[in-house]
Amino acid sequence: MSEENTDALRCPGNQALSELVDGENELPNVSRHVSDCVRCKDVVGVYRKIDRATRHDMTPPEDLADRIKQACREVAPVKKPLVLWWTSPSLRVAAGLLITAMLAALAMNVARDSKEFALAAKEPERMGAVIARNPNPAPAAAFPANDRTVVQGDEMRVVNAQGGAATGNTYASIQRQVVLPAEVKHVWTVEDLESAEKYFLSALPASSRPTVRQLGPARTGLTVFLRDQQLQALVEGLAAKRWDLVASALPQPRKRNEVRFVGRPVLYDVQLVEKRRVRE
Amino acid sequence: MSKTETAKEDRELIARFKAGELEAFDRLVEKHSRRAYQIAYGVLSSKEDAEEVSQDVFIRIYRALPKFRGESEFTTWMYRIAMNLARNKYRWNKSRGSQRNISIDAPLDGSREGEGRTLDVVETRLTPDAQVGVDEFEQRAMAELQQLPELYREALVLRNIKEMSYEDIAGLLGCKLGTIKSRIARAREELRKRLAV
Repeated sequence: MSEENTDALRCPGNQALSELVDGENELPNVSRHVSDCVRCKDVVGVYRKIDRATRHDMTPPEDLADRIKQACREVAPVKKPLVLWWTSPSLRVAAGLLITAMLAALAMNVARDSKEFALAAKEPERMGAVIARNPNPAPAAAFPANDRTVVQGDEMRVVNAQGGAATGNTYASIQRQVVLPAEVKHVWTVEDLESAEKYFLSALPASSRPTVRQLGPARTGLTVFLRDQQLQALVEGLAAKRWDLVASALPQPRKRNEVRFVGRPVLYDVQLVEKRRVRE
Repeated sequence: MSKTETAKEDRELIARFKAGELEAFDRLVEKHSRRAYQIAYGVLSSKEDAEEVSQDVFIRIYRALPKFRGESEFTTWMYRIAMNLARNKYRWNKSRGSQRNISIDAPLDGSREGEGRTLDVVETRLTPDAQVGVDEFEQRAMAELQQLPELYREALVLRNIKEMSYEDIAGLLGCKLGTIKSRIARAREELRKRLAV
């Protein structure tokens, strides 16, 4: 037998050899042993060879950073804060004048409208008429907000009290279709969480970039990127699987006509909750 | 640049970004996109997937940065996002069957008899183009790395990234230091056995 130590009983464990390879927690007696032991020297050599091999090709493409910057600008445009232009004195004065002028115009407009509205309100009484009440008013949410938001003509459609298209002499209202917000949150209750999660993932288009997170033993959170039409189709598909949607935010199953589809990318934030756990 | 200096520069860049200087974000991307890519590549072994994940990492950061309070270092936050997205992509690939899956029943080391976990192992043969410039041992090593249990694979992948200390990895994976040392050693030993070298 040579002088080299090949007695496995005296050799340090693999963890000590691994730490030696990493240069962390280096113990002098381990280094000394390895320099004298054929077996350990061999193991350390193989560990280093494996490290070199598995580090191969981890270099990103040269233009990766540029592409990331571009993607960030496109997907998530950030508005420059007011702070930057507010530091300019001339712009501050101009903004002040503009705001004052707008407030004055608004005040005049409100005063005129109030007068006109008051006259209009008295008009039926003056004519001896009785104001008819709609016995089946459409849900409040179906109406445009009672504000001064400009609504384009093609955003509106005539509907009956149930939200369907108005026909014949039914009472009709003007309903405003809405564009989905950039982020939609929904909660779905499902029979079996695992199979539901699998189905959900398999129903997504390839570009949806899903993220899955466990929120508890009976609750899973998923976020995906979808276009508004894709999201409506997904919601209808999930409802067809007899999942229950426990959220009022659009899009809703069978309410496609309440959404104005503009191809907008939407972040869909979903929670899947197992029904039996809910019952418990 | 030392870690302290890097962290300090990151804090300054974040402050400038929050004040409206978008170029500060560009600098963060230039500094850290390489690391995000390496984490993703280590988990996924696919250049395309790693690029997609690293892009997603920074899109999320771009959106969330205005609310980032700096309670942890930017790099720790970024690594966590990268690791989570890469894991999700890995599982997504499996669930979509975009890669050929081989399911085996194998107990993890340390588990008691009858408590074996099913491992879904993704086969990751390199395409002929990708094989150019990669020697046979590297190919085998990468293929075997992908077949290690997730716990071991992730620890070794992170260790292979330059300047990731054991402490960094433990913080990122939420484990004790000893656990990380053990996982890395087991990963190496398992690869040594599988590669029969």
